[in-house]
This record gives sequence, structure tokens and C-alpha cells, in this order.
Amino acid sequence: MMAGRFVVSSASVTDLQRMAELARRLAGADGRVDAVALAGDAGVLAPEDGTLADTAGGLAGLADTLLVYEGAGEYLRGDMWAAALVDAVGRDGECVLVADAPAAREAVARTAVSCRASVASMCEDLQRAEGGGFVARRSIYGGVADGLIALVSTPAVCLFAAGKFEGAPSGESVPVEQRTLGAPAYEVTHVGDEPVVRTVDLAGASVVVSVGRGFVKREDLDLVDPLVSALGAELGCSRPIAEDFKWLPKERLVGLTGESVTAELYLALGISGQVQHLTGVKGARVVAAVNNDAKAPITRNADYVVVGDLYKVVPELVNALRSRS
Amino acid sequence: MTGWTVDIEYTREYLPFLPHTATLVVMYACVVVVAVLFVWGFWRRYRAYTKGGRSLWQAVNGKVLPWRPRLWRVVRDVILQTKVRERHLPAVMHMAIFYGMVLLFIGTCVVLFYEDVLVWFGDFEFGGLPYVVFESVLDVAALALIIGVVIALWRRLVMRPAYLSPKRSTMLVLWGLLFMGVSGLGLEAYRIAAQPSEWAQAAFVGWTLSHLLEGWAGQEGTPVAVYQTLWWLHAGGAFALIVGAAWTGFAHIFVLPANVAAHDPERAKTKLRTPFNLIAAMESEEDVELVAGTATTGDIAPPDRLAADACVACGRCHDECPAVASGRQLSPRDLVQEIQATLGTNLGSAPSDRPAAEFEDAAWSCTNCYACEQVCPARIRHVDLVLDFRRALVDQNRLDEQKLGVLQALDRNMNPYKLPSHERAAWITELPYADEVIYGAAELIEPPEYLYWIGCAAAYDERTAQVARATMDLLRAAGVHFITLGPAEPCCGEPAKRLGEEGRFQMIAMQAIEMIKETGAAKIVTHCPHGLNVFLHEYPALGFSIPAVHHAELLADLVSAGRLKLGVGIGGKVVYHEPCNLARAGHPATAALALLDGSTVLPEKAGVHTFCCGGGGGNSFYQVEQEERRISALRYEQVVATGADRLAVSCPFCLTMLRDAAAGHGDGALQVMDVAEVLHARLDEAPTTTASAAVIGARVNE
Amino acid sequence: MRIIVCAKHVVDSTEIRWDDEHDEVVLRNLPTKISDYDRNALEAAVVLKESEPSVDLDVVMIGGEAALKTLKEAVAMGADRGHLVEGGWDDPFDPLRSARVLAKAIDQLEEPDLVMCGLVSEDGYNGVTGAALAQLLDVPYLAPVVGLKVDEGSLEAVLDVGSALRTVKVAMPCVVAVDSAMNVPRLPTVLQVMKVKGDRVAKMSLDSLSLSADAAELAHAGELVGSESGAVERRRVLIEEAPDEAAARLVEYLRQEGVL
Ligand SMILES: Cc1cc2nc3c(=O)[nH]c(=O)nc-3n(C[C@H](O)[C@H](O)[C@H](O)COP(=O)(O)OP(=O)(O)OC[C@H]3O[C@@H](n4cnc5c(N)ncnc54)[C@H](O)[C@@H]3O)c2cc1C
Ligand code: SF4
Ligand code: SF4
Repeated sequence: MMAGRFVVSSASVTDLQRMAELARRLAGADGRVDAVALAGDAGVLAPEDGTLADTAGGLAGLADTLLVYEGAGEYLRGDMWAAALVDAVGRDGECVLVADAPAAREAVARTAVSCRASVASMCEDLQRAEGGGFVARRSIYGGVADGLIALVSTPAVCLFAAGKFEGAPSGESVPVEQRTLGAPAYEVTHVGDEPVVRTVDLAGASVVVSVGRGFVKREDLDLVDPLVSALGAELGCSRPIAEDFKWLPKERLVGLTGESVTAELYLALGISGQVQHLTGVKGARVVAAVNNDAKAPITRNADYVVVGDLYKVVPELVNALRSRS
Repeated sequence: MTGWTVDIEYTREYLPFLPHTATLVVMYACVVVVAVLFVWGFWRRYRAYTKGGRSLWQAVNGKVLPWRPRLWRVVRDVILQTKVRERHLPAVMHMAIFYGMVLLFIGTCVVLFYEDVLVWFGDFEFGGLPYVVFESVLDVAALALIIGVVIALWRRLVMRPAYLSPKRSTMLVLWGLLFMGVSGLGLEAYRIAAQPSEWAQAAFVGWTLSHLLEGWAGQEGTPVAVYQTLWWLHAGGAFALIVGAAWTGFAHIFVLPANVAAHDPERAKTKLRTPFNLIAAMESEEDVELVAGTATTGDIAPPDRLAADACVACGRCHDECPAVASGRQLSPRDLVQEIQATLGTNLGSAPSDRPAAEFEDAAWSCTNCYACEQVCPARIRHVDLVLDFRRALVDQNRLDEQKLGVLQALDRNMNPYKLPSHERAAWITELPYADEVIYGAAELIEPPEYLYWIGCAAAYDERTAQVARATMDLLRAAGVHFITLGPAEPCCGEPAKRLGEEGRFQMIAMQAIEMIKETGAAKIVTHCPHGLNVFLHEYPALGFSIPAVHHAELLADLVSAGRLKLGVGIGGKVVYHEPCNLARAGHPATAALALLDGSTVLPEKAGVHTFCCGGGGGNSFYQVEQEERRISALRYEQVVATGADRLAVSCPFCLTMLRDAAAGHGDGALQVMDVAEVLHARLDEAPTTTASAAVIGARVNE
Repeated sequence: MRIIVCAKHVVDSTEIRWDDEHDEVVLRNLPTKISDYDRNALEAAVVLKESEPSVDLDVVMIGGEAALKTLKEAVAMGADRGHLVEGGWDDPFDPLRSARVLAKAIDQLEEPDLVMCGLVSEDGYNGVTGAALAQLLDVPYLAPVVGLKVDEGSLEAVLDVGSALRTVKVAMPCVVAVDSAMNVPRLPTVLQVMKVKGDRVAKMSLDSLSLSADAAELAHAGELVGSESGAVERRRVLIEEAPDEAAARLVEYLRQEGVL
């Protein structure tokens, strides 16, 4: 039972690699890791960002085979994805690992129901449990705690948060095995897609750099442009900037009367950190600030505070970020 | 002087130069028609007020008693013109017209009474000294009327202040009054010129004018025809005005006093209405229909319709309103006028039913500052109208995310700041004297004298927390036995009430009331005027009364009783900004001023006419989009104009709002402090924070 | 048309905290509510009902006695009636159990054309229940829905798939999961909730769904077996150095945090 068979699948190559690496670790040398890809009318749908050859190469040393399911249709659909996973799990699949993406949750849920599996969502890590089954680690209740979820019945279906693969594949491309999906169980007519150009998405941004009244002139905001692009951040601001000076549109306002962020990193530049502003920052994982006043309320509400003049610190930050990469 | 008391044989001819009988017949025919039109006009009004079958009786809350204050208010407001007198030029204007017209009306009635009534009962002659006095008084009255009307026209046509936007009917009435005054004097002058008499000088204006007509005016020919025409025009004008008093805005001469009489003299200015009582409704056997708010103007209750109809569009409210000053989509004058128009009481306006949604911007722009109500000569309660629209908008789920968020946070987190309840007043547990002041932790040998209400602002906002700390230090220094609910304190419910979610307010209030009762405290003290208002005026409507004071009042008492040892404070010139919820609710500035040191000044708008900080009526928790200047910035400029070095406030919302406004002024900004903090800086002894820290420290160390 | 909205009774996520003293998540004695995304689903359903009064709208909720108040809130938003499945605590970490109970409950009710739920639940954030329900009912599943249009047996939905807004059309019945971006859910007033009388909320016991306590459907497939504080109490590290050194140090810290 220990050396089971793992099925991994993902909408992007790096996620697939990450899932495969984890599966490899759990499966051990004797175990088996099957990666699932879906291909449709317009080529490979999952992972969508690579050709089959890329994918097979990327899985070298991580997976044993790449199962390619043809006939997945026009775009990646959860029900088709689930059909592929159910087929790949077969009778002896022990565990399914999928990284989060649109349609991934449907795929996972349908697979779990079809296979009478146990399921865990938002997983960050997975271990074998003593006495069989798996234990997934995930953040619970909005980050209040880290929880361990026991997956009792087999197979265990785990949905992981999307992320990056830090390791590297080694060796030869994995062999590819072609399979074909049946007709979809449900008829869904695709009427059309409207590409989304997201202008400002403070709530969803993973890094937010916010500017406050520490900036003296409108032109000075140019100072943060290089920082924003170096961090791949979304620009936010405090109320005076959006409403009193109107230097930035109101959709960039963070706080009680503006947006609430959920970023991994929130960087407050020249913001004192009044409660009305901080309300919108609660959801950030790491809060950093640059402020010349070591007694400003932000210093008690941030993880890291550079006490200094933002006009000097911001350019240095850009340098430090650039030299790193 | 005795000459006046000798029998004076002067009288004048009744209806000179007119065919006596014919004139009387036509005139009284007209009187009948006018009377019918007049009664009809008011019948329409009455029907408009009581639309939907509800009784106007509600106007006096079903009770005429206490009749004394009601009567007194009518006497003061109407007969003595007290409200009107608050502004100079309009006061001269209105008093001149009012008293002039009253006298002229009485004069006309006296003449009619003598000539057409008493004449049936014998040979009564209206003459002698009374008649001479009568003539002079009437001339003064006519002159006053003319002067008043000219001022009124001048203001509307030449000065044109922004708050006055005269209606056509108003202008018509003014021109009509002017005509009445002028034509009346003209008729008199003709009479004196045509029938000279040595006593005619008593009618000094007419007598002076009569010189112009000398030689022309006579007993026959064209001049008499002119006289007769003018007489009929004058009489017609009088009839028109009487009809107008029932069918146009001129009706204010009756409707306004009616509203003043209906105005509940016992209801505090800051007390909002309680449309239902949840507990009573839940316990009641019957299925009571619970409604909140006015979904359309048609739902507006009779007393409020009467009130709206009483509006004279004088624009005083418009002139005082901070929302108007900041360029928001609200003018209390227009709001009331629009509601008045839906009543269809005046000629040319048809009854209509407008949905609350059309008043949405106006309703949310209001800061509930009561500046409008303070100055309204008709004693209209604008905030009632605003709140009823808000209630309807809440009921119709027409809230934006911000306001929804506040209501939701009140429900979920027991505070309007959307912060978790378990983070509430965390700072209080770190005070050195924490377990002496937190209910539950403190050992209470006897019930505390005071419950010190911290309030949501101090519980969550670091800056306001300093005010609470200063207050507690001072209370301890003065040896006041008090307790707080600490981190367990609930919201008092004010934001829910002001945002129009009455049910939620009552749910929150019930919880708060239970906790207050449990402490056994005899009184409440709080630094928040909004909380104070709720304790003093809103909880009693839910069946719970407890004496409550503002911290400035209690601290002032302690100072004057010598219970605080005070030294020199920070000094300098301090300007004190009065919160609307104190100043206009009968809490004068004296208490707060007694806490300040150095020289103190009040800004231009002070006392009952204080200007809002922009934070009331829930405005601290949402943004009003359409505004040109922030209200707090306007007020900040007013206080800066006093040349003070510091700004003292006595309300957490004022503190936040005015600090926010000050922050825009960089280094030159005024330091904003609560009055308790100013007093705290004057404490001579080491503040109790440190004194009792030693004691508590010792206990902890054991 | 018949719509059933599955709304979850949850502990208010904004009030949940970690108790250092007892080393546990505090869930007891906290306010409860309708899970946030489910409120979006309810709102969307009510909006459909408002435009088409013939829509018959039911809410189904799993929970104990305490959930009754939450269910009334859901009904007060504009549903015709509510059904409380007395299935105890709706475990956030066992979405398959929730889906199985809901599927049984829906089977008992008049057949719906459309089943709606929130994209994820406020407590579990799994995003699994709705899709699992679709699988159990053997119908299509659409998510995350940000736009809906119904006409004659078919449903046109706009899905936010990240790079695009995708419009698709399916024949009903189907299950849709509504995204929070779709609308701003209304907040029923206390009066509105009070006016939901007992005859508009019904209870369904597990027995009546032929689910005995040890039914396979109720066996835990996922279970929280341990937890530790996830608190990110702000670290309050002050960096008081020259600008270049301070910048370098900040970048270093941020890298350690893994946020760069
Ligand atoms: C009802 C209400 C709602 C509100 N809603 C919001 C809201 O949604 N969002 C919001 O942001 N605010 C809101 N506010 C305003 C809030 O209270 C604060 O006033 C605002 O957040 C302050 O903005 P700030 O920090 O940019 O400015 P300030 O408080 O003036 O802070 C500027 C900071 O920059 C620092 N600084 C100055 N120069 C430099 C320099 N050269 N280098 C480094 N640091 C420097 C200063 O030390 C100071 O700490 C609201 C206020 C009210 C009353
Ligand atoms: S509401 Fe009162 S103050 Fe305002 S215009 Fe009317 S009468 Fe004047
Ligand atoms: S209460 Fe204040 S803000 Fe509201 S209408 Fe009256 S004056 Fe204007």
C-alpha cells in the first residue's frame, strides 16, 4: 500500500511540476506518478502554457508518465478535466494532486464524488498519516490558524494553492501516453469570451504599494513607478491622496471608505496608519512601511518599518530589488 | 393733555363718495364668496394633511397637554416674533409687515363692527378720542407695512442672498401688500383733501399726502370716479389676500402658528423619533404592522405634512446648513419645499407621490447637526424628515457598500469600524489601574456612582483612547467612584439609529441596557455627546432611564468643587468648538470652558449656532461623493480665523474630523485636543495613572 | 421556474480568533451568519425573482437550532421559504458531506430548475460543495458566475475565468456558483427578519432524508485533526539605518517572508 500511484494535474507547467515533485516525495522510489494533461481542439489545454514536449521534458525525474487526454473540447472544462482524472485514478490511484485554477475546483469536486474519495482544498502541504491516509496542511479561518485535515478514505483528492516550482527537472522526458475522452456528459454552449483588461485590482493584487501624505507634490509620485514595476505591484493610496489632492483615482483608495487588500505584501510609503486606513490593510500578510516618524501608528501595525525619509529610501529600495534579480 | 379728554366731536363719514346701500350689498356678497373660498382652501389643506385616513391628532402626539408650553411657544414665536427676531434685516422686515397687517386688520374689523353691526343696535358713533388714536395708529401701521414690504422686495429683487429663492406666489403677495398699503393711504388722503377737518392731522400720513390732492379731490366728477375705482381695487385686494391666505404660501400666517402649536415642546432637539418598539411588538398578541420610514412622500405622516406646509421658504436653514456649504446635494429648504409641493396645498401645485429614492442624495448628505431646526421660524424638524427617508431607503435595500458595511459591522462586530469585537478597547486591559475600572475584574464593595462609557471611537481609535485615558485619570484624581464595561462594552447603537436601521438600533440598545443595568451604576458619564444623547433621550423611549452627563459637565463640577488640584496648563489661546449634539441640545459651553486654561475664544459660529464638524448622522462612517469642500475643512477655517494656538473639542467625532482637517495644514496646523486632555495637562499632582500604578504593581508582584 | 439556493450557516469569520491561552481557534459564542458568497447567490436569485415574479425561491441550509435565525435572515432577503436540514454542524472541512446532505434534501423538494450557491464558503473556502452537488445531481456546474440570464429553460451565464469573461449557455437544471463580484447583497433589516413567520421556514430531519446518523453519506471524508496559531501579529521591526542599508535590509526581510 505504501508505494501507491499518484495522479497529478495542473493548468500551468510549474504547478504541474510542483504537484509532481510532491507526489514523487510521497510515492517514494517504488511508487508511481502519472501526470494528466488535456488536449482539445485548440491544442493543449492543461497545462495551457506549454507544448506537450515542454511538459514531458519539464516532468523529467518527477513523474513516470504523461497521460494526454485528447478530445477535451474548446477550453478547459471542469467536468472534462474530472473525467480525465477519474480515468487516470482508475482502480488503484491513491492520491490526486491538483493546483488551483479556474475549473480546477470543479474537477477536484467531481473527481472526489465519482471516486468516493476524500477531499481537501487550499492545501499547502501533504503528508502520509500514521495508520494510512493523508494529512493535508492548510490555512484555516482566513489565516487565523494553520490546520491539519485528515483525508481518511482513498483516494485522497487534494487541491493545492497555485504557486511556483522552485526545483528543476532532471533526466529524460517522461513517456507520453495518448488517451481519448468520451463525449462530454453535459452540453455547454460557448457563446464567446470577452478578454478582461484589469486596470486597478487592489483587492486581488498580491503586492500593493500605497502612497500617503508623506509625498509633497503630485510629481513626486513618479518616484514610486520603478518600485511598483520592480515589485509587480498595484498602486494604492490613503485618503488625502485620492480625495483631498485627487492625485490618484478613488479606486486606488485603501481603507474604510476604499478597498480592502488581501495582498501578500503591503508597503505603505508616507502613510501614518490611522485606523480608517488600517481597516483596509488587515488582510495583508506582510505589512512594510517607510515613514520618517518612528512614533506614527503604522509602526505598531506593520511587520517592518524603515524609519527614514521616503524620498531617499524609495530609490534605494529600487536599487536593492534590482541588484537582487 | 386734558384737551384730549374733553369731548371731541370728530368722526368721519362711513363709506364716503360711495353709494351706501349698493356698496354694502356688493361688499357683503363678496365677503360670503371669500369666506367660502377661504374655508374651502383650508379644508383642502386639512385633507392634504390627513391623507390616507390618518389623523392630524398625531400632530400633537395625541395630547394637547402640556398646553402651557405650547401656548407660550405660540405667544413667543408668533405674537412676540421671537424666532423671526434672530436675524436683523429680516426681523425688521417681518415684524413691520406682521404688526402692520395685524393692526390694519383689526382696524378694518373695528370699523366694520361699528358701522355694520352695532348700527342695528342703536346709535353708536365711532368717534371722539378713541377714533383719533385709532386713525394715528392705523397710519403708523400702514407705513410699517409699506416699509416692511419694500425691504422684503428689496431683499428679493436687489440683494438676492443665495438662500432666498422667492416663489412667484410670494412675490405676488408682496406686491399685493404693497398695493394695499399704498392704496389705503391714497384713499385716506383723498378723503381728507375732499372733506378737510381740523382733526384730520391725527391720520398724519394721510393728512400729509392730502396736500397733494388739495383742489383736485372733490365730491363729484372724475376724481370721485378715480376714488371709487381705487376703493374697489383696495377692497378687491383685501379679498384676494384673504383668499390667498388659504390657497397660496401666504397660508403660512395660519399654518405656521398651527405647526408651532403642534410642535412637541417636551421633545429634546436631538431626540429622534421611535417609530415602533420591538419588544412591545414581539410581546404583543396582535399582529402589529411595523413600518419604518416613508417609502414615498405619500407615507409622510400628518404632523410632518403640516410642518412641511408651514415652510415659508425663508431659507434660513439653507443658509446655516453645512451640507449646503460643502456643496452636497442637500438643501433643507428645498427638501421641505419639495415635500410641500407634493401636498398640492397651494394653487398651481397638484398633489404627487414621490419615492424616497428621489431624496436619496439629500438624505445621506445630512449630518444631523440641527442647525436648520435651530433657526427655522416654523419649527420644522428637518432631521425627522431626513431620517424617515433613510429608514425607507434601508428598508428598500438601497444602501451602498459603505453603509451596508457599517450596518453589517454593527451586527457582526458590535462597532461601526468593521473591526473584530475581541480587539475592542484592548488598551484598557493594559492600564495600570485596569482591574480597578473594568467591570467584572474590579471588586465592587458598593455599586459605582458612575458607569464611564468608553464608546466605539475610543475603543478602537488610538487617538480617542487617549481622551478616555485622560478622563479616567481625572475621575480617579478627583476620587469619583466609577467603573467601565471595558472590552465587553457594546455599541450604544447610535450609528444604526442615525443610519435608519431602527430595528438594529433597538436590538443593540437592549443588549447595552442589560449590561448597564448589571453594573448597578447610578449614573452614566461619557465623553461622547452622541452616546449621551442616546442615553438621555433614546433609551427612555425603550423603557430605560438613567441620569447621564457629558464628561465636561462632570469635570467642571469636580473643578468647581475643588476636587482636582490644578496648576498651570499649556497656556496660550484656545478656541473651543462646540459639538452640535451638546450645543443645540441644551448643554451650554460653560462646562467645557471651565476646563480650559489660558485665554479662550469661541469661533464666529458658536453656542446654539455652532457649525458641524461633518461627523454626525453616521457621516463618520461613509463618504458623501458630491461635495466641493469637506465640512470639516470649512469648520477648521472658521476656528483658525480666531487666531488661536490650539483647538479644544469635546466629542470623538469632532476630534477625528477636525484633526483630519488640520492634518492638511502641515506644520502650521492647530493642535486638536479634547477638553479633558487640556484639563489633564493642568493636573498639579502626578496623574493617578502613575500613583495607582504603584499600588497595583505591588499587588501584582505579590 | 424553481430556484433553490444553498446557503451556509457559518460562524462570523471576522470574529474568529486564535486563543493563545488554550491553543485553539475560538468558535464558541461567536455571532453566526449566512456565509458571505452565499449571500451573493441569494441576492442573484432574488434579483431574478424580482424581474420574474413567477420564480419560486427556496433556501436550504444545514445546521442546528441556532441556524434557524440565519435561515430566517436568508428568507428575509426575498425567498419564498426556507428549509433547515437538522444535520448539526456544517463542517467547513468536509464539503463532500455538505454536498451529500444538500443533494438528499433537494431530492425531497419539488425539483428545481436552478440550484445556486456561493463560490466558496466563508469558513472553509473550499469551493467544492457546489461542484460536488452538481456531480451528485448529475447536472452541469458553472462557476465563478458574475452574470446570469434565464430564458425558457436555458441559462446564460458569464463566468470570470481570469483572463476573460466567458459567456456560456446550458440547459437547466444546473448548479451555478456565484462570485462576490456579481452583486452587493442586500442586508435584511431586523424588521424584515422579524416578519419572516414560522410557516415560511420548515425543518427536515436527517431521518426524513433517509440519512441515519451512521449513513455512509455522513462519514467524514475530511476532518480537522489539529491546528496551530496562524497569527501574523505584526512584527513591528524598526529599521533605523542609512537609506541604502535600510533598503537592503528590508528587501532581505521581505525575501525571508517569501513575498518577493
Ligand atoms: C470618516 C473617515 C473615513 C476615512 N476613510 C479613510 C480611508 O478609507 N482610507 C484612508 O486612507 N483614510 C481614511 N480616512 C482618513 C484617515 O483618518 C487619515 O486621515 C488618512 O489615512 C491619513 O492619510 P496619510 O497617512 O496619507 O496622511 P498623514 O496622516 O498626514 O500621514 C503622513 C505620514 O507621512 C509621514 N511622512 C511625511 N513626510 C515623510 C517623508 N518625507 N518620508 C517618510 N514619511 C513621511 C508622516 O510622518 C506621517 O506619518 C478617513 C477619515 C475619516 C474621518
Ligand atoms: S424649513 Fe424653516 S428655515 Fe427652512 S426655509 Fe422653510 S421655514 Fe425657512
Ligand atoms: S441637520 Fe444639518 S446637515 Fe442636516 S439638513 Fe439640517 S443643517 Fe443641513
